[in-house]
Amino acid sequence: MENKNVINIKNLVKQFPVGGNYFTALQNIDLKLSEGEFIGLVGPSGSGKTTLLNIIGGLDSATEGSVIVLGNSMDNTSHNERAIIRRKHMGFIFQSYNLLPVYTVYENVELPLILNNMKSTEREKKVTQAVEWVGLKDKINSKPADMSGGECQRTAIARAIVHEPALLLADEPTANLDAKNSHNIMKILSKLNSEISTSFVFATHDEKIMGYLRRIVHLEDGKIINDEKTSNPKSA
Amino acid sequence: MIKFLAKGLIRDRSRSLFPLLAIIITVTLVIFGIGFMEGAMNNFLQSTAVISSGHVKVVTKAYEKESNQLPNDLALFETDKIIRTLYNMYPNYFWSPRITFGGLLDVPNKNGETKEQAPVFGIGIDFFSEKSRQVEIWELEKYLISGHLLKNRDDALISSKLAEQLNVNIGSAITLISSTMDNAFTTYNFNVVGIFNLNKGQADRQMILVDISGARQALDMEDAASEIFGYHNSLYYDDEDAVRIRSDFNLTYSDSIAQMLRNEESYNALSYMAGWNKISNAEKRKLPKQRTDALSDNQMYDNIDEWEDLSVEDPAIFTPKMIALRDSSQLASMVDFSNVAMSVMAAIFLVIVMVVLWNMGLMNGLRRYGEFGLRLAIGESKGQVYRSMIIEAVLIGFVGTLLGTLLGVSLTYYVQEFGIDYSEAINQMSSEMVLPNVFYAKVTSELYYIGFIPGVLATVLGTMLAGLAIYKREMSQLFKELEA
Ligand SMILES: Nc1ncnc2c1ncn2[C@@H]1O[C@H](COP(=O)(O)OP(=O)(O)OP(=O)(O)O)[C@@H](O)[C@H]1O
Ligand SMILES: [Mg+2]
Repeated sequence: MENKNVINIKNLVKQFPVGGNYFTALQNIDLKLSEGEFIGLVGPSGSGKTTLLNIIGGLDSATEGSVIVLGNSMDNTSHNERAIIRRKHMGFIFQSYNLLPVYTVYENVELPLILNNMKSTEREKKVTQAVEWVGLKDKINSKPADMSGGECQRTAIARAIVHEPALLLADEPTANLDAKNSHNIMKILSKLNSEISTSFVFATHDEKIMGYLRRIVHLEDGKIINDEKTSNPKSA
Repeated sequence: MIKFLAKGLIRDRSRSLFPLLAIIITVTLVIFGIGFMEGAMNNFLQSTAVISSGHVKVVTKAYEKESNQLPNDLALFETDKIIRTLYNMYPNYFWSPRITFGGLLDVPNKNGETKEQAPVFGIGIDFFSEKSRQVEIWELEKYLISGHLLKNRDDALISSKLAEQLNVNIGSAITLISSTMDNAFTTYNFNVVGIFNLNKGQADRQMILVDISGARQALDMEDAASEIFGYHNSLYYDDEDAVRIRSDFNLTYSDSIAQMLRNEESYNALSYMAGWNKISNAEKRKLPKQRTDALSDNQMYDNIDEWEDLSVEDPAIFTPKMIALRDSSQLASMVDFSNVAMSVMAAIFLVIVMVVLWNMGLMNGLRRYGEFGLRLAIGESKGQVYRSMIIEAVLIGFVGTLLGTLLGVSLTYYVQEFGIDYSEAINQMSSEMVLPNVFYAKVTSELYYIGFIPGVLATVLGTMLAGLAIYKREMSQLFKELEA
């Protein structure tokens, strides 16, 4: 694997205004991520996993420190520039599947491609491929309300990877799923990771996920307390 | 992207159908409500206008001064000519001569001796000419208890109260005892062909209605009339317009003739009146200026109080003068009250529905924070999301308002044409109340646009406010709304 930095965070501090004061959610965070990595931000509830993920994704901004994602310094970019970076190079998966309920699987997965102004013939190819990856070919015209939680989350995965992003951010992707579905999802994701050059960052405290991760960054009270490569990760 | 959003809009009923219905319903309500209030107010004025004031009326200056005595010796002459002039000057109005007279009504027995007698208040109305539209505006068919409308010159309709008092029936002969225009004693026989009840309390207690031809015959008033009533063709009393034509008429027509009569030989003035029809409009426009210049050093007729000094010999007192409905003092306050009441009610109404629709816009926006957060995460810019949201609100607001306006105006129009009959409810309330039995609505021009204030403006403003959160909050916050 190359050593190109997908994420380079130095001295990150994140504070939220609470009442008249500040609550420090993240402090002294240094984190580097190379292309193709498959890492987990792990820690108890309130340790700052989601906050860190949001800052990496440009959904939130750092209070101090430098955050460089895919070669872009996130604090020096405008909202619109960050939107373009997300649209082209990032994918998101959330705990609740966050599908748009009025659209079919196909249409939900298609949205990022529409935003990237892709032609409809090309879109069709990509969407079909992504939906096949996650094994939902026969559900392609279903709506979220008619599908199980696992199927919804697989749709969300298809949407997150359909434009082959350089970086995929997943916040507790298995929290709402049972064990079987959780393993299924993790298998799909680690298989994708080995097939395409996308880097993956998970935020999780789900034990079931841990075994799949190749690197685990432990957070506690907004600080990184441990950063280790796992010895023998499961794979697809 | 537009196609994508349109799909969502159509499929998500809570985004399209329900707001649309809410807007249609509110806009319809606003329009019908305002139209109905306008109609009710107008109806109230209209019954006065029909019986006693017209939207405007033309009388001689002297008649106006003494009008409560029904002074037919001060009546208008050459009414056909004046009416022709009026049609020429104000084609938006229709004009009808009226003779109002007092007297005694005598009911003879078989031997021709007085059986019953009572004071009478008579109105001679131009029922027989189409152009006058008097059959239409009096709506007598509705108020006729028995008998039929006037067919011949000497037919008369009598109010049920008076008929009861005098004990007359259909087919009875009644004798009017009154005085002619030249103050000579006169008697005249009418045949009762119908009995009416105007349902306006005591207003018709002593009333008989005859055709103006009969009244002219009875009172020796050939081509004369107490008053010439004018009504806007739409039958809607437009206060501003009535005041405008009253001022215009008095300045350009009445005053200039008065001035001529005073300055020159009266036949000059009369020929001027007669020739008015032959003068082109352009010339008419020029005239007032000259006349007003001439009048500027003689303000006598501008101030009615100075009338006292006027000698009765002054021929100018017989010049026609126009009076608007609002010029009689009680009616002025009623018109003002109704205008103010209308505006206040309309404003309150509008504010209420604006709050409702504003809220709806707001709630619809709030509900979708999760969706917005997601779209932002996928890579739409804040501007794109905000714009799509506003465009959607404008679209829904516009379509809803359009449909609501259509529905509201149709409904108002229906009620304008056919009315809502409240007569049973009113009869139960009180028989003495001076209230119309049928409420009519009125389609006024503002009904066509007023719905857009709540329908589009409020909806869009509410949405805009909700959408501001997209800019104000951190995007990560928007998700929380959905995660929760
Ligand atoms: N917008 C905010 N304003 C104030 N405090 C916040 C805000 N967002 C997060 N926090 C606080 O920052 C800390 C870290 O929150 P974060 O959501 O990152 O935790 P987490 O590790 O994702 O927890 P969980 O496992 O429960 O999802 C928490 O104490 C939280 O209360
Ligand atoms: Mg979290």
